[in-house]
Amino acid sequence: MAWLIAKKDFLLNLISTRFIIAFLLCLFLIPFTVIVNVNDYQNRLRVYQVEKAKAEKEFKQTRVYSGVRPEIVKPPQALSIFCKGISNNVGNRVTIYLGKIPLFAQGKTAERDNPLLNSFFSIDFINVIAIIMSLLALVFSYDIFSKEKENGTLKLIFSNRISRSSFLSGKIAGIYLTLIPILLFNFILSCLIIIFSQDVSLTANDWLHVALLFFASFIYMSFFIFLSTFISSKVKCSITSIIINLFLWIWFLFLFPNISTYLVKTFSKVGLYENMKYAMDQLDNEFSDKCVNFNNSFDIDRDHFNLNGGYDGYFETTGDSREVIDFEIKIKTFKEPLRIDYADKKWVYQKKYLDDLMKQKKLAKSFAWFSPSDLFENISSSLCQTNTQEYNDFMSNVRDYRKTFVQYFVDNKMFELPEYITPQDINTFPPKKKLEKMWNSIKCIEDCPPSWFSNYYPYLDLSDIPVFKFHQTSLIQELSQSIIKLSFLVIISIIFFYLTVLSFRKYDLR
Amino acid sequence: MLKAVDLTKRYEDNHLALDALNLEIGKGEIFCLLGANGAGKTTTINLFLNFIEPTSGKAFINDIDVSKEPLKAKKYISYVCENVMLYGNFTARQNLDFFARLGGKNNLTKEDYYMYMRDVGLQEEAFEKKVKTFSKGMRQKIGLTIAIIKDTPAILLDEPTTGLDPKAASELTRILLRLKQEGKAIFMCTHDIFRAKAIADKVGIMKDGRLVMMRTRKEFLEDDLERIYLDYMQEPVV
Repeated sequence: MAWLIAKKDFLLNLISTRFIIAFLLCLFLIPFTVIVNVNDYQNRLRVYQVEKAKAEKEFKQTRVYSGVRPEIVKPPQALSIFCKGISNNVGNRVTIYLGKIPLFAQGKTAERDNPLLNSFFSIDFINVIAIIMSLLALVFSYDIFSKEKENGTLKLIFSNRISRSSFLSGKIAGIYLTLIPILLFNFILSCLIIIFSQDVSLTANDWLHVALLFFASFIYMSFFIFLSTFISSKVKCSITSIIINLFLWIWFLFLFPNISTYLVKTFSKVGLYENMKYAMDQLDNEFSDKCVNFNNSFDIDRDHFNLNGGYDGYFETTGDSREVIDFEIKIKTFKEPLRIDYADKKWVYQKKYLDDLMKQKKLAKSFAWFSPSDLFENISSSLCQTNTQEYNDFMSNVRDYRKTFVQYFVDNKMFELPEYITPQDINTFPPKKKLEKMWNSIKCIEDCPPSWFSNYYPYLDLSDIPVFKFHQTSLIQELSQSIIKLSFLVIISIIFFYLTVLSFRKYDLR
Repeated sequence: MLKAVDLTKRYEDNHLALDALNLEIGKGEIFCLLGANGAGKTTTINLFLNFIEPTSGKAFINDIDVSKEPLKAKKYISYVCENVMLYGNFTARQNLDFFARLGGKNNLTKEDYYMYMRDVGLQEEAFEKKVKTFSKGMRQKIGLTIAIIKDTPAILLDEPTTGLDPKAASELTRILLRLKQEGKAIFMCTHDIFRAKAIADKVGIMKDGRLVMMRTRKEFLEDDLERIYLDYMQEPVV
């Protein structure tokens, strides 16, 4: 009996105007969204390839250890085609410095706002699924009982030997029979576009994630089916049902995410980025003052023939006197450990700022439990590895790598080595007086020996420097993040189903 | 076949819709229940179909207590409502197929459905047309066909002739008489006193939830049924 009802509803839905509109809507929106996102991914991939090659090249083109600047470039996630998450809010490049612990990746990080808060209106495949499938679930379920009643077919059906539970099961199965093909069509269409797109190759693991996304979408859609079915069982006419359903749809998808973001920002204040920056600048000034005082404690003339350098600690010199080089090594031996100490001091302020942002994000996550669309977004971004957790893990890996990198320098006493500041052999630096004589004999720059110039020397062999390794989140870790949220949606759906069963037992069939 | 024993329905708002109704309809018998709007006719049908629970009393179909075993009781009953709407986007045949299967008739062919539709006087060109284009008379014929296909010993009709033109109403009468000859117990609620007079074996008049009069065919043919009906309608119930 239930199957008969389901088949009837499926056939009626199939020839209904709403099904045709739904199908056309998907046929237009899904390819458009996926093509735009594939294009966006391809662009990000190209930029990544260029940036990675540039970073590798620049890393190798170093003649002194003070200029060693590993640059980590994060590849874009192929699954971001499905769900961008926060990937477009945050950067993908991190340069490792001794004097700075990286807070965020460079690139697109919006430093003046919380980049960890997701922007709902960055339309991607999952956003479209969240909007369309919930709307279709409501559109096909809002009049599940009232339409039969208004048509007079409810009495005709129940004049037969059919129980209310069979009828209810059949009606719900009919909705599933109608909506699953639409959902499947959306996924198949997007997968086909991805398969036939250049430069986009998904691994077996990625495809598994896509299958899990389908499952999550199915559960999300089910939530709205059961919500709408419950409302339909409670109200007598279709108009009332559609009004309540549409209000809830707008609330869950548009109003609540914005209201929750507003509430999060109201209840969990984050200090100004400028304040953190100011505190860090103060520490930088303190560090500079200490360095200047240290320099001034020596009475030495620091004339350099050829000097390259910067505030970040890079210092490269050639063609100097032995006295100057010895002095610069002394300075670096003092300055670089101090620079590392000050990086740790600055991190206290950075960490506080980051903790505030994370508190906001945590609060936003708590609010998400009240909105199925927010939960679905969280689940999807977790499965697509474009969520805050994945970004935090990456940044945490980067900071760990910096620690390893710094420790390598400390352990190998690199700051005390001449190679830290000069590619020139320490024994080839003449005493000051000899050098002054040499300078006096030189008429023009062409007369200088080539060994006084940096480019005379080869690049350093950096094969011993620790290398950054990406630690991808495992499928089990991602699932553990999503499973509770998915289970929550399933439980709420079951509750709505149970309430519908109770409500429909008393439903007035007349 | 159909029996009501002290069948009473009082709604939550304390309105007494049906007050201790007693009636019995045997095989091959047509019982027409007359009464004004709100007299309790449809409530009686709703109680027989178990759409509502009686406050007291019992309704029996083929000696099965409807309240206790509704699904078993519905095996023996068909129902034709006042305004058969059906599924507008299905054709007449598709509608028949769905309700026939629902009634347990799973092996009927397209030709069988055509035969049933011809039998109730539906034009051939309507068989594969969407029902939303049908007139009320045509839909009523489909409703009756559903009842005929289900082939139950009892049929309940709720004001089936309301809104029908005389020709369609006459055709309906013809079919009901044929069904009666086949031994079906027919219970019809109606305002149509003339139609009741033409086909009923028993006539009952309801007023304010009470069966105020019941006459056999012989009795009401001897009396003036229209006058009796009008008298009861004007007389306040004590």
